[in-house]
Amino acid sequence: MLKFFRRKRSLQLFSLISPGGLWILLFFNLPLLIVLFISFVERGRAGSIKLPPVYTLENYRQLFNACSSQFSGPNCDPFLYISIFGHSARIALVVTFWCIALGYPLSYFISRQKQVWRDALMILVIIPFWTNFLVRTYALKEVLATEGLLNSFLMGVHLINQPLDLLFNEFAVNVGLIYGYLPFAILPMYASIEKFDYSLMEAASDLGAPPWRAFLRVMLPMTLPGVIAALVLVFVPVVGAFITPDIMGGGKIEMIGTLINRQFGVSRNWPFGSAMSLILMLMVLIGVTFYFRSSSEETRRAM
Amino acid sequence: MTARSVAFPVYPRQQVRLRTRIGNWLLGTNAALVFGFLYAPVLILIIFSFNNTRSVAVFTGFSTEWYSSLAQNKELLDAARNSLLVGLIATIASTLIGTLTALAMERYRFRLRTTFDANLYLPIVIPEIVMGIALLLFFNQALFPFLQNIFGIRATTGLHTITISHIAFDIPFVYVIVRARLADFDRTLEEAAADLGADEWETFKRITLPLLMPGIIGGALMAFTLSLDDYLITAFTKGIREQTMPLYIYSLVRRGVTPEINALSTALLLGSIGLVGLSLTAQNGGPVYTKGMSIGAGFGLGLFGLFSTFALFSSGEFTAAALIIRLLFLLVFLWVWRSYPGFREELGDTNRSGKILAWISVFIAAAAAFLSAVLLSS
Repeated sequence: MLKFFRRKRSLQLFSLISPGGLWILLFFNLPLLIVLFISFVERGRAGSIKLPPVYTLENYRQLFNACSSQFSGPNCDPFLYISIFGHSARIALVVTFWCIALGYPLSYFISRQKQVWRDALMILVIIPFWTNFLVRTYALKEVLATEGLLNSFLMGVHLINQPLDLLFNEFAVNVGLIYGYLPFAILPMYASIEKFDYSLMEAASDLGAPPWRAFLRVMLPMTLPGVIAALVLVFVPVVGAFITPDIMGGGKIEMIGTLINRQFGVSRNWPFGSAMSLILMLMVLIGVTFYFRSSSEETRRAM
Repeated sequence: MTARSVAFPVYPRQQVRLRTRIGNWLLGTNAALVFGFLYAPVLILIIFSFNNTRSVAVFTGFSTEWYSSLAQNKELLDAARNSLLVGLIATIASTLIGTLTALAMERYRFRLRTTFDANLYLPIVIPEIVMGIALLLFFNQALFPFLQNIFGIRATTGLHTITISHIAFDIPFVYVIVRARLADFDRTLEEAAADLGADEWETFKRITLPLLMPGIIGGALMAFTLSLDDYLITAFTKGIREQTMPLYIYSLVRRGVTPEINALSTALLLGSIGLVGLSLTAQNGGPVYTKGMSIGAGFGLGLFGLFSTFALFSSGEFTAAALIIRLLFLLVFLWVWRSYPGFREELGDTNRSGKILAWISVFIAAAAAFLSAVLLSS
């Protein structure tokens, strides 16, 4: 029996791959297929689907015309859902911009330190990865709260007379997302900046390039893979974020994630929620494919 | 090391110096601001967990009342126990499955291999909320009706559906980490073992597995952390009664700011420092003080394990689950104990500031691990 097993490579392969393959097929691929199915059927009374299923494209059409549903009220904005998608994309762009704008100089700074300091600072970058995301978001919320430390400090030094509304608005969501995803931007950028050969900068300056031009023409292009990785690693999770907009936005800021969540909560419209999920997934997959096309094998492994 | 100073001969000397000085100053300020931004809220949270009033803005006096009210909070203790249980089962299952899958993908060639590989990356890249609703719909609209109609089994959501889902999203992470390790693997070592007369199983046991171990442990720690931290997928697959730690924290956070969450968060934060140390050591990288962190964390946990096992036997409230969790602590301790001689040896080769840094991290991590273990299991 054992000898037979040893000789049959296909049997070995099958026994190695079947647990993982089956688990992923059953609890990942099949659920996604069910989402696909539900996104094409009509909504039933209790929010789930009408049985027997009635096939429709309505759930996708609703994205472009929020008022097409029989459930919509008189003061309906037809572009509501499109604007939520646009809003999410804008927040994700702003957050990505700040993560790169703050993270790139920091990665550069860390890479120019002595070995001991470099390792210590990188550990400080890594610790947030292993820290509970909810706890970190909550810590930030506590600082920004109306009776929080920042407001009482600013009032204490008489910079302001009334507490600022730092929570439950778009500013809070942006800050919360930057806070949450900044480490994701630093890691890939550091990986490519650390490998950059600084003697190339010296060469550029020997040839008469001022520092800014040497940076733009030599260093930036050579570290661009890290920047693109940072862009994807921040943009992709932020565009579908749910926890941060929910906690920092206090239910007032609508992003794709909160919109989808609402379809499975109070709005009880599973087919529409499924359709939105698939569109979000498609957006993310386009971004990731773009990244895998544009980056080399080497930079991907550096992460 | 190459020379790091950059000379700019086209500029007068004075001007260059001013430029680089301003540049360095700006870079330093940016670094200080970013680290301040990342860590100030967390430090403030820890400080105010010791406040004696409900205020999170004015520190009125030192007290540990929030920690003791935490220790009596039955809802929280149940949530913590559920989280640990789900996390442990999900970690063990996904580490086994993920490692097998990585071996299969790296060592065998078959049809649809690249498709399958891409499919394994998919759960990592798609938004969590999509996977959450997919599992919700799968369980409630497909699996449970199917079980009901075909086998007549009435199934509901609960800790088991949470565990199944956690295994599903942990497998890809373990797979990626172990596979990265396998890609760097020197196959000639296996051939050498075979030449020396070892059979396949012995080669695997004595060569392949030990060399893969850092990747496997790294993957397991990653899976454990992800499982322990997950809110969204858990929220969509949970049952009516049982909840996990993130679900409980979320309900507290949505309700408002209370010092009780500060105390709980502090305990979790301290635990995560130990995890960082363990993961860095597992991957065999990093300077000597990361090993110090992990050794400290191991000592802290081991000390707690001894202490609480003793307490368990003397209190007489003896359960199998309690004993297993304590045995796990002792196992961590033993694992760390094995790497202690290496740590001492490496310490001998470092300079004085490195030594001081290493011992400081040993003590901080030991205290952190011990405290968080005490707080989470009291």
